[in-house]
Amino acid sequence: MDFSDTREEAEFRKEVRSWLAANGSDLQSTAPDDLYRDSDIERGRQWQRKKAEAGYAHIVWPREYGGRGGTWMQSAIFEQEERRLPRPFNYFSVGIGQCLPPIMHFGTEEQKQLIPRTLQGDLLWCQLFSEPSAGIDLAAVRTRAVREGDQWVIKGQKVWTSGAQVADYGILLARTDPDLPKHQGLTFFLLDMRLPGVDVRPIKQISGHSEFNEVFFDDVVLNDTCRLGEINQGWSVAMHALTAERFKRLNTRMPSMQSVLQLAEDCALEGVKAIDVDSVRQQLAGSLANKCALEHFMSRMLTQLSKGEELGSEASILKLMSCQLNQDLSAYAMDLLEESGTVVDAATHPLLAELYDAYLWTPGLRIAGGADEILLNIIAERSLGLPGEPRSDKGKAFKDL
Amino acid sequence: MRFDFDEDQQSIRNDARRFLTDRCAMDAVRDYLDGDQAEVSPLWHEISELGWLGVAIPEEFGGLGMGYLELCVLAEELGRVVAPVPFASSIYLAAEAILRFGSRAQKEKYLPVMASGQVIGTMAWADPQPGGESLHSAEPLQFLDGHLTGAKWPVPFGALADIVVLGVRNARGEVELVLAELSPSVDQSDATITRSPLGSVDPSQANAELDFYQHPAEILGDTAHGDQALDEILNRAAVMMSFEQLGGADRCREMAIEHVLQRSTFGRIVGSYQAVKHKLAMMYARNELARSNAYYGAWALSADSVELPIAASAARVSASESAEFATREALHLHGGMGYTWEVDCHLYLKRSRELALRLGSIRRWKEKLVAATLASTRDSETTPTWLANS
Ligand SMILES: Cc1cc2nc3c(=O)[nH]c(=O)nc-3n(C[C@H](O)[C@H](O)[C@H](O)COP(=O)(O)OP(=O)(O)OC[C@H]3O[C@@H](n4cnc5c(N)ncnc54)[C@H](O)[C@@H]3O)c2cc1C
Repeated sequence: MDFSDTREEAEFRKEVRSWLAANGSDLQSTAPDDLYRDSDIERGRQWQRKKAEAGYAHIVWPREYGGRGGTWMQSAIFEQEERRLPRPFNYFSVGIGQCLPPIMHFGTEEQKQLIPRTLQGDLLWCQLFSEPSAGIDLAAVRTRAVREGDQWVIKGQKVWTSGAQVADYGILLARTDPDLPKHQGLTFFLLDMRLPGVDVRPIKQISGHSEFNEVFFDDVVLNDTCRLGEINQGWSVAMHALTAERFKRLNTRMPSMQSVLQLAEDCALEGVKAIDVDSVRQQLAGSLANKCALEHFMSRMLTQLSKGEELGSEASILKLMSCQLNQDLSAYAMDLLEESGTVVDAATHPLLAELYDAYLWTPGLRIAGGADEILLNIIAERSLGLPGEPRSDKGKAFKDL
Repeated sequence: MRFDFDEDQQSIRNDARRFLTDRCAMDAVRDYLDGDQAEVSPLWHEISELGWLGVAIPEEFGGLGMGYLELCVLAEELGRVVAPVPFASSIYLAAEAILRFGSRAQKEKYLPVMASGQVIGTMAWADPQPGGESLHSAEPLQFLDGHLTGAKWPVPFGALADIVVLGVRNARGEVELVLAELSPSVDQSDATITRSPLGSVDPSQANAELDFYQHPAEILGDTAHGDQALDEILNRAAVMMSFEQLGGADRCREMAIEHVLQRSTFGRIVGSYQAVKHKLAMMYARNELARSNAYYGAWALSADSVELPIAASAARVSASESAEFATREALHLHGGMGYTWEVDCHLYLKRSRELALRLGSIRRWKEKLVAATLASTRDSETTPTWLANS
């Protein structure tokens, strides 16, 4: 049980610190209200490019693909140090976290050329999985891919696709054989979002902004070289994408714990500083204990990874419990402002604007990438050995469901 | 960084678990409850022989001198079997108090016999709350001219302990730590000490009231130690106790899973109902988070970190809360069976409630957590990494 860096780790941290001091000092964070302004995206790309040039874009991957051939511990050290700076929204997290890992695992050498280009900040990605009638039940996708010679013709509709409005590529799960049971008739593709027949329409979400979209495919033609993995084996490729994401630091969009403590120092309740009110301290202590536990839970997972062990489904605990914490804490922090908490204005009270953003973002994060109920099922079944859910769709051809 | 127990510590855990399983340690708690609670459980002598009591006591004072991580591992295993032994009172409280704050002579006299289990220690520090009543003496405990007079309660394992470390308030209202042997000395025939058993939330932790009259005692250490020392002792004990709490909470989860997997209703295994699965998944998540804080505490304890007050409070808050949840819901998932004396759920429920009170309530530890965290943020040098990062 040791938190201190080994000699190599300490050296690496020193190197990262001096690199960040030299290269990251003029970074700005992206205003949460509108993430997809061109100028913000451009700043995001520039930061990504700088990191790639210095070998920090994907530390554990091999150099030939734009990584560094480093360790998980180095990757965590870089993240810890990077997190101390204000920095642009990570437009590359879907690409690097979910889209590239299956390419690295199942891709042809030609497909793997997309990896360095993404790490260098040239390519943005989106995940074209969910559909109007396939969300939690992802294997129910209906978007069709029909083979015509060396090509595939794609027809159908995706929904809730984050970042599709700016993406260069998408990972697509489509049905290639409706006569097979639903998990077996799926194939996975890499899709160029600029192809004719791809139509991206923004969806206005609860914040009033549009971070996710509907995507329509009207006879989009793909070469067979865009297929990732075998025909009708798309489900296991998709699972790879979803599980690869697990250890990625959550994009929780939550102001720091310290800023919430500071808010409690600044607010007065009935003439007393909020931080001196017993009930406030009790409430904040609960959040502190949870925050502390989540951070140390991550350290435990990191230790596991660096011993070469796979992460089990217990990694789902991280998303499940951080969402709960952030939803509670953002609301409670707003409560400290009493009625002034109703006035959201980034110019006069940036922290309140961030808290409001967190409050509106967390309900989405509780649904995206595995809703609470699904995470609980996964933990119960895979970590605790409890039986799977009863289901009536097993073994039947998809077209008969 | 390596945030886990190492291989040697894992093998201590495996040996301990094997011993406690082979020994049917769950019988020990039932035997103790059925027997004379002024007699220590035979399990105490067995774990003494295995050297468990002395793992963190330095070799020069008769211990094994291994360390606190090893002690935490053993605490978790004892918690899993609700062991009816004064491990916490004698080892993490009394022996720790003597080791940290005792004089050289006190350490030499007491630590070796505590490490071998011959002498059982306990510690009582709390001020009694109104509403409860002292059995014999309304006088608060006083320490004057080397003698104790007055009552102290509750004293865990007070009916069988041989020595006690007491927090006694002096005339200025400050706490002083005082060490007393509990057998009346022969040459002072008018000195008395009366031990009266009290009811306990967990009867296997046998509370008692101690009433002293002109009973000889000494200050712990060469000079008087006060509130700060008490606070440090409690922080250290809280980390070790959080492992004991966690052991119980995790065992409850396993028992509940075993039960719902073999029980059916409406033609389905109970464990296949989502309400049940989700409750157990949540129990697991909460226990794993509590475990993460307990590890943080263990690290802070073994590394003598300035973060100990934060780490101990976080470990304590999470352990008390997750154990409360796990013991309640494990009982519930056993149905009517869970409400019977025969099934073990109640032993864990009572132990968990007892331990949640033992070093002070969740409320008290939450307050400590906030106070220590705020103090650490006054200077970025002392802000823990996890907080700076989050
Ligand atoms: C902010 C945001 C961003 C997203 N980004 C993307 C993206 O980039 N790409 C993409 O492909 N998708 C994306 N999604 C979609 C997301 O993956 C789906 O919304 C999610 O899988 C839920 O599917 P659904 O909306 O169809 O809800 P449903 O599947 O209809 O579920 C509705 C509710 O019922 C519950 N439920 C469903 N089945 C069960 C069950 N068996 N047991 C218990 N409860 C159940 C769910 O937990 C949920 O609460 C995003 C969603 C959000 C909110």
